[in-house]
Formats: sequence, structure tokens, C-alpha cells
Amino acid sequence: MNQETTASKECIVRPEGPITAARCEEFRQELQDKVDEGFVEIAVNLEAVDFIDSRGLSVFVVCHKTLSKKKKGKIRVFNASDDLKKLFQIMSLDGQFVVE
Amino acid sequence: MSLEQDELLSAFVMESSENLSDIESDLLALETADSDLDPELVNRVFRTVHSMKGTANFIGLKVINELAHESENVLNLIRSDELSPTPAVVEALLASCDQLKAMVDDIENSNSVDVSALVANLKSCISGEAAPGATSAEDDEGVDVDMPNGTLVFLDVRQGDITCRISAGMNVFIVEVDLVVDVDEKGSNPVEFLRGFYKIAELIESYVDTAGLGELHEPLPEGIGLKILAGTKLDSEGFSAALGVPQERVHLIGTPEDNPWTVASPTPAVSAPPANSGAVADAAPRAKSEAASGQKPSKAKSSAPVRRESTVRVNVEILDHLMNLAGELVLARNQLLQMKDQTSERDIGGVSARVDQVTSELQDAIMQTRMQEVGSVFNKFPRVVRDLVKKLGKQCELEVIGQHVELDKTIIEAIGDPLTHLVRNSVDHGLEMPDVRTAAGKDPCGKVCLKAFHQGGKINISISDDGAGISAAKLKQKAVSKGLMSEEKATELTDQEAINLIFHPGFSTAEQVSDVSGRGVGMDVVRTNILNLGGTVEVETELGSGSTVLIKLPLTLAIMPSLIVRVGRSSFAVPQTNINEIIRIMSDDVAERIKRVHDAEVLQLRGELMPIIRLSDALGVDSFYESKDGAEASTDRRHDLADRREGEEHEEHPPREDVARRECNTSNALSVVIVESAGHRYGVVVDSVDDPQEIVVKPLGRHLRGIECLAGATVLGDGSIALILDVTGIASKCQLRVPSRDTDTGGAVSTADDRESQSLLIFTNHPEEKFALPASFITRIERVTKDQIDSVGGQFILQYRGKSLPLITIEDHISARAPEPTDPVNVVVFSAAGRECGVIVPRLVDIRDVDAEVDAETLKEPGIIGSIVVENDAIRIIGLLELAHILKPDWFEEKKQHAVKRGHDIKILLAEDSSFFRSQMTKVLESEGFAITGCEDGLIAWNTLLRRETEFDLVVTDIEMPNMNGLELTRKIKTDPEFKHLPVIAVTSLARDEDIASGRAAGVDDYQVKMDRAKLIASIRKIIGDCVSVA
Repeated sequence: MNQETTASKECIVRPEGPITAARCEEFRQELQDKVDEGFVEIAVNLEAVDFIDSRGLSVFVVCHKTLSKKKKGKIRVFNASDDLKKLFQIMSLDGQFVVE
Repeated sequence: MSLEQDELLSAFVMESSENLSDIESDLLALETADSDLDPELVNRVFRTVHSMKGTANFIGLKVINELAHESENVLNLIRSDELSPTPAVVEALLASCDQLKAMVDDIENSNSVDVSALVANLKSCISGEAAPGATSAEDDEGVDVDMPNGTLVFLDVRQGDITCRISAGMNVFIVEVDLVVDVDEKGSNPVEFLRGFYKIAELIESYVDTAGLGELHEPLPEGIGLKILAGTKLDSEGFSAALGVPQERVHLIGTPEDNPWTVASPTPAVSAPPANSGAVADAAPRAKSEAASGQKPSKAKSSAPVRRESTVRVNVEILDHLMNLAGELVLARNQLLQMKDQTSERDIGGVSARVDQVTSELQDAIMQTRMQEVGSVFNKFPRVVRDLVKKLGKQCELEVIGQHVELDKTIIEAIGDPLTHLVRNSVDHGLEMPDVRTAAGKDPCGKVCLKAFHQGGKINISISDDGAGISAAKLKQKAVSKGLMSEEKATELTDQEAINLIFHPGFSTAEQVSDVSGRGVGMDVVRTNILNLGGTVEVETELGSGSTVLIKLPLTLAIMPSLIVRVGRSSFAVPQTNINEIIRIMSDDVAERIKRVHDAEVLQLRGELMPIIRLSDALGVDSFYESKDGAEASTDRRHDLADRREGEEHEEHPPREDVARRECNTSNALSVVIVESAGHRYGVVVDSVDDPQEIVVKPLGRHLRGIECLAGATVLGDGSIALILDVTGIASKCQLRVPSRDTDTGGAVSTADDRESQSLLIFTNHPEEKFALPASFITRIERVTKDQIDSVGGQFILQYRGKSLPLITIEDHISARAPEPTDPVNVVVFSAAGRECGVIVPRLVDIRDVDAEVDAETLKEPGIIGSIVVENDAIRIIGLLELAHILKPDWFEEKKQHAVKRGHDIKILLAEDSSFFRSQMTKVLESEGFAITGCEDGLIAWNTLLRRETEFDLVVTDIEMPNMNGLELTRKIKTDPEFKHLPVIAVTSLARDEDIASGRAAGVDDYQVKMDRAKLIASIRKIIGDCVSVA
């Protein structure tokens, strides 16, 4: 899918370290802030993230849901390790639409 | 062809036939193997085909060589994993295998067979797989994928992505996994889960189901639902286990055998496959048989059947054994020859016994060589069912039981075709289509069970299915519409008769006569074939549940030990297995041992009354007897066996009361053979009993088949024919009711419920007063003349068998009118306190079982135990022991002395709710010298024990009692530390196996049946360890 980003509508987030159940609240808050600031598309740079557990993943999922509700926004990831890439592919969050 | 080539050829044929049937089962296994494919399986098939090819080439069998060669190529690729054994490939191999078989069977014409189609098929298997899957327009179509319950899960999936996995032999699943619950909370993480997934499966499509989730500003969800459409070679169980996802969330939606997308309909809306909408279908017909021995392959289907050599495979051990026996026989025979000159009787006896024994063993061993396992016929059925199921679009699981049951070779050969027809019938007509089955609440996969087992001296083979059953109504309709019978006749038929119509020639109820089975030539041919083997076939069915066809085959050519008996001029054979004993009743005893009860004749045998029939009556043969002087044999026209009058013709049936009038004239003894089968035990009266003989069983000719009394025929040593009796058949023909096992109470007629019944001898003293005696007390009934009775000191004494027997006249002791004196006199002899005593019974009326309530109160007086009402007559029951006690009190005192053990009386606690029985038993046991405490039910008995006022030595208890029954009482006793040493004897009228078993389970030490006095007393004595014998 083509990405149409306007500088003001997409922001980049770069979390560091593992995104796990213990630490994901922080990450969630960060994303929430971006949404509140009006961003519709969020790109997450995962080069500093080596591990995400299911709780961590759930943050991405609900964020995607929230964003897609508002004006068809979405969340995407890049610079992910191979493992994480496969993970996002399987969750269908690498750009494809989800069937509701 | 030269001799050598002939030999080579027949060796090749023989070996290849066997090999090919092995290959077939291996190929079937290959098809269903999935990921746990045994490489050895493929190798085996490959090697077999390879060597077959080589030999065929050498001999010059070109076409066989060619086909084998192509098959070998395919197998080679499978072996090296370059080719996947998909169903299509296996099908091609199986087809080749069939053709090879056909060619081997018709070896002489094999070179002219055209196998080009098969070769092309095999070749395309190779090339088809190697070529990259060319995508067709269909492949690019998008299809919707549902769950088994119909929920749409995946929208618009590229069809090619799914079908390519299926063609690769994978199963397609929808997996619902929750990343939190199924992964993290189990100690794993998503990345690891994925790695595991990719090891065993391919991803077709997936997504996270965000439907139930909240939004970013809300608390994080507790679970993440991931839906995956995957292809894997594992099955449901394996896949679910490997992923760590519960099987309920792993849904099979497509397999190579049941591919919902093969019917390549272009419209993507058709997501539901034809037979089931995403149903979880384990479609592969799995034959659960254990390794079949596979000795002889099925008959060739070629048009010109060639006569193959008939051979049998025999275990080498048996052959060694045969050689040994032959050697022994030679030695023994030599001995015998030598002995011809020196005739010493003792020596001849020994040697001839040896010859006899060895000959028997030899006979057995030779017979064994002819026996083959039925598995050799059964093992072709998995294939039959598989092919059929595919063709019809049904689902079926075949279960085979009893492959090791052995049958004679001729039967094995003959039974194959009929069985095939029946199995095909079950699948074709019996089983419903999967959707019909599901709609009816059944498992869409039907079940056919082929079972062989021994029963009733025959081999039984049953073919049962859990299909729709056979509709009697439909059959009747069909019969009428085919003009086989009128409508009135049809409505008169019972359901079973209607079901049996399927055996009628020209009958087929299939809507369309499928070429699979039933051109109307089926069932009647099956039946004829089986009848020709001397067997029977029956059908049982239940609408909606299924049907069972049961074939019974005799062990023909079996040699059966039997007893030869004669009736009239004919000889008959009674199978040894049915014979209990043989009785010869001297003519003097006939009158007393053979009685009439309810219009049937019965024999008194050791306290039991057993029904007897005259074989001449059962078979309609004239019986003979020889007159006293043996001068002439004339037809026996006596109506009653006990009637010893000679030679006269009697028109009238002697009234029962006149049992007393029979006269003993002739000196004919009676021969009675006591036989037993299937619960019937009865005596057969024959003219004479000959020797036991081992006979060869031959089936009866067609015109005699319907006779239920006969089971077969044989030729005797002298060339004459003896018919073999069917013991069960005779019983049913003469309408002998199956007696309850409990015959010791003397009842020839059974009572179905467990009311306690008594067998009573009914007689009249004065003609208008009826009395009864408990039959179990009676030792004998004698008829004596007046002059044998003396009057000594006011008492009557009978001179009887060298002893003086005190006689009781009833009217002297109880209120009864004096009878008219009779001559001769009937005396009932019984034992009391170990001695014998007699009661004069003027007129005997009847012996019968009475289960009426015994009224122990109304007409009570000393000597009368109680009364019952039978057919509006009040009959008083006489207490023999009481009378004896009145007459001879000193006997009982003496007895009591004898019963003292360890310085004190033996005390018995008796629990019995019927006051009648309780008083009877008390008297019986007291007369033996025991001290009895009687209780009305188990609870009272238990409380009595608890009171500890008396130290009991033994407990005798009834089973059926209110408040606490005998079993509970026994259990209480046996589990109580203080009382568990107490022996318990259960005395009851319930004597079925299950009753005895529950008695023993409760801890009963002995189980006695009411009211066998002698046995009960013996049992008590045995248990107490009393060594004083009954005087």
C-alpha cells in the first residue's frame, strides 16, 4: 500500500529495549501522547528493540485499532529484526487491512 | 516351453501373487501415512517391484516388465523424496498393481495386454509434479474460508494458495491462537511461537482479530486473538500438540482426501464444499486390521480365467510333525504285523491303542494343513471399501476383527465372493451419505465391521454397519410392485419375513441399480453359495441404526466325536459335546422315575425333575420295543413310557390319577441320553445306545435342510447313513421351555420372577381332602402291597429292603378323615434325623411348582406347616419332620447328641423373611441337632448378633428380605472385626450366575439353593468341620 504521509500527520517513535508486559505501559503512554497530539499515522522504529512479548504486541494492536478508527490511520513498524518482522507480518500489521 | 521354464514360470506366478497383495496393503498405508512416513515401507514396495521387473524380463514377460518398470520409476522418486505420495500418485500405483495382478493370474496372455494408459498415467505422475505449478485462472480466484460452524473467518483468500498446499499433501487448518493465553502465559513468547509454527506449517493467511479489543487509551486487553490459515502435513492432534493450542481451536477445513476446493467452481461464493461445510472430516477410510497374514490373493478379474495350481502354504513345523507321526505309525504297524502270529491279547491291546492314538494325531495334523486364517480373505476388504467410498462420496471406517479364526481351505475360497458382495452392500445401500448422517445426529463417517468368531460350534462371520437399516415396509412395497406377491399377502408378513425378502431372486431395492452392487442377482446368490457350504445366513436390522448380516458356517470336514443311538430301524448321531450322561432305567424303576407333570413327561434324576422327550416322537419315527421274550419287535404304541403294559392298543389317555394303576410287566429297560445345549437340558429316550464314534460331518441335502432337529448326516462304518441330531433344534421343536438354572428345587417348569416357589407333591387322603408334601423332602415313592405292612404295637411298620420302616398315617396325627383302604398302598419315603420313615399317601394327584403365598396361620396345627390355595382348593402342607418327631422323638434326641462340637451345640443364626421357609428350615436343621435362632429379616439378624447374647457358629441367610437383604447382612458381617470370622451360607431361590457372583462378592462362604436339605446340611457340616457323618 502506498504510504501517504504528511509530515504533520505521521510521527516516528523509537522505543528502546524490550517491550514486555512489565514495561509496555510506558510505551503505551508514549503512543497515547502522540495520538492526543493529533497524529494519525505512527511509525515505530524498532532498531533498538530486540524482544516484544504478547503484552507488548497488544499495545501495537490497540493502537492500530484506535488509529484506523480515526480517519483511516495506522501504525507501522520498520527496522525490525527478522523475527519481529515475521511477527508483525503474521499479525497483518505490516500494511494490510484487517477484516473487522 | 521347456520343463524348467514351466517351473520357473509357476514359481514366478506364485511368488508374484503373494508379493502383489503385500504391495497393495503397503500402498494403502503409504497413502494415509502423512508425515510419519516409514521409509522402509517405500523401500519394500520398491524392492518388490524391482525384483518382479527383473524376473519378468528374464522370462520374457514383456508387458509385465514394462509396467513394473514405470511403477518402479515412480517409486524410486518417492523413495528419494523427490515425489510426494499424493493420492493421485498412489492411485496410479494401485491401478498398476491391479493390472499386474491380472496379468500374473493370466500369465500366458500377459504379453498381449495393453497397458499404455497405465504407463502414461504413471509417467504423468512424474512429470506433473516436477513441473512448476502453472497457475490457472481458478487459482487466482479469491475464496472465502469458513470455520466448521459456518463463521466466516477469511475473506477473499487466493484459491491457488490453498489448493497448492492440498495437492502437496497437506491438511489445511484454521487456528485460533491467543498470544497471551496460549503463548505468554505458558512461558513462551510470540517469536518462539512463530519459529515453532514455521517448522511444521506454512502460512497461508492470518490476522489479529481486533473486534473485541479496546482502544489505546483504555487498559490493555487480556488477550490477543490471532487467526491463522495454515497448511501442514500434521493431523489435528499433532498440529494442536505441536503448537500448544487446544484442539478445539484447531479446525481442519481441508485435506487431500476431502478437498473442498477440488470441485473448482469459479464462483468464490461457494465456500462450502459439497458434502460438508468445513466439517471436521477424517475422511480416509482407515482399516484398523492388525497385520493380515495375506496368504492367498483374491481371484483374478481377467476374462479368461486360467486354472491356477491349487496350493496351500503350510507351516514347516506342522510338516515336521506329520513326518514324525507317519514314522510312528509305521513302527506301530510293524509291531502289529509281527504280533499277528503271537496273539497275546494284552500286547495287542497296547499296540492297537498306540496305533489308534497316532492315527488320531495324524488326522488332526493333516486337517490343520487345510485350515487357513480367515484373514486371507478379509485382507482385501480395506481396498474394496476405500475404492467404493471414494466412488460414492461417502465416508466409512472399516473394522476387521478375528483375522486369525481358521476355516477349511475350501470354505475360505468359496466365501470371498459372497462376503465382498455383502461388504459392498453395506457401504452402498447401508450407509447413508455423510450429510444425511450428520442430519440424523450420527457421525458422518460410517462404520462397517467385519467380524469372524467361534460360537455354538460354528464359525460365525458378521458384517454389520451403522447405516440406515432396512425398511420392512419398503421391501413389502417392492415385493408387491414386482409382482412377487399380492398386497394382502404382503401386509400379512411379519417384519422379519419382509426383511428376508432380500434373499428372493430378482430383488433389489436400490433406487438405481448401481453397478457396484445389486443387479438383483446379489443376495440370493450369496445365500445359495452359503447354503451350499452347509451354512446359514440371516439378516438383522433396525431402521436408523444399521444392519447386520450373520453367516454361520459349519466346520465341515470336521470330524466330530459322537454317540450313535438307534430308534426303530434308524441310527442317529448325537454330538459328544452335547451329551451330559447316559442313563439306563431298569423297567422296575421306570414307574417311579418317570412322571407326568403338566402333560409332559419328566424324569426324576438325583432330586431333579428333567423333561424328556421320545426321539421317535420328535422325529416322527416309529419306535420299537422288544416284547418280554425278545421274540418280536413291534412298534411301540404306548402312550406313556411308564406304562409297561404290553402289546395292547390304547385309545384313551390314561387319567393322571391312575398313575398308581400301572403294571410292570415287560423287562424293557429304558435308555435315556441326557443332552444339553444353549441352556436346554433334557433327556432323549431312544431304543438303544450304540458305541461312540468319530464321524465325518456332511451337510444335509437340500430337501432336508429345513428340518430343525437335524444338523447333518454321516456315513457309518457299515455303510449305512446316520442323521446327526441338532440338540437345540429338538428342544425348540418340542417346545421345551428354557428352565431356570435353579432346577434343584424339583421344578420342571420355570418361574420367570423370583417369587419363591415350592415343589409340592399333592395327594388326597380322604378323597375330598387335599394335602401336599414338599417334594424336596421326598426320597422315594413306593408302592407296596398290604401284606408288606405289619401292625406292631399300634404302629404300622413296613418291611422294606430288609429294614423296618415306621409308617405314618396322616389321619392319626392331624385332623383329617380316614381314607378308604387301598391295596396296593403308596408310601412316600423320607428321611428324618438321619433315618428313614414313611407316610401313607392313598392317592397321588400331582407334583407341581406352586408359588402361591403359604398361609402359615389359618389351618395350623402340629404336623401342618401351612396351607395354600391352588385352583380353588385349600391344600394343607404336611410337615414331615414334625410328624416324624411326633412319632419318633427319640431319634431327634440322638441326633442332637451327635451334633455337639467342642462341648457345645452348634448355634446357627437364620435370617429368612418367609415364615413358612423359616419354620421349615428351622425344623430341618434342628432335626440335625443344631440350635437355631430365626430372624425375620437381615436387620433383626444383625441386631441379634450385636446383642451378643449368643455366640453363633454360623449364619444362614436368605437373600431377598426387607429392611436389610442377605447381601448387605453378609457384607456387614464380613467387614466387622468381631464377626468377620462367622461363616455365612446364603440360601435362596435366586441361583443365576450373576446372583451367585454377587453373593460371592459380598463375602458369602457358600451359596445354596432352596430347599435342598441334604446339600445345605452337608455344607453346614463341612464348614463347621463336623466329622460325624450322617447316620
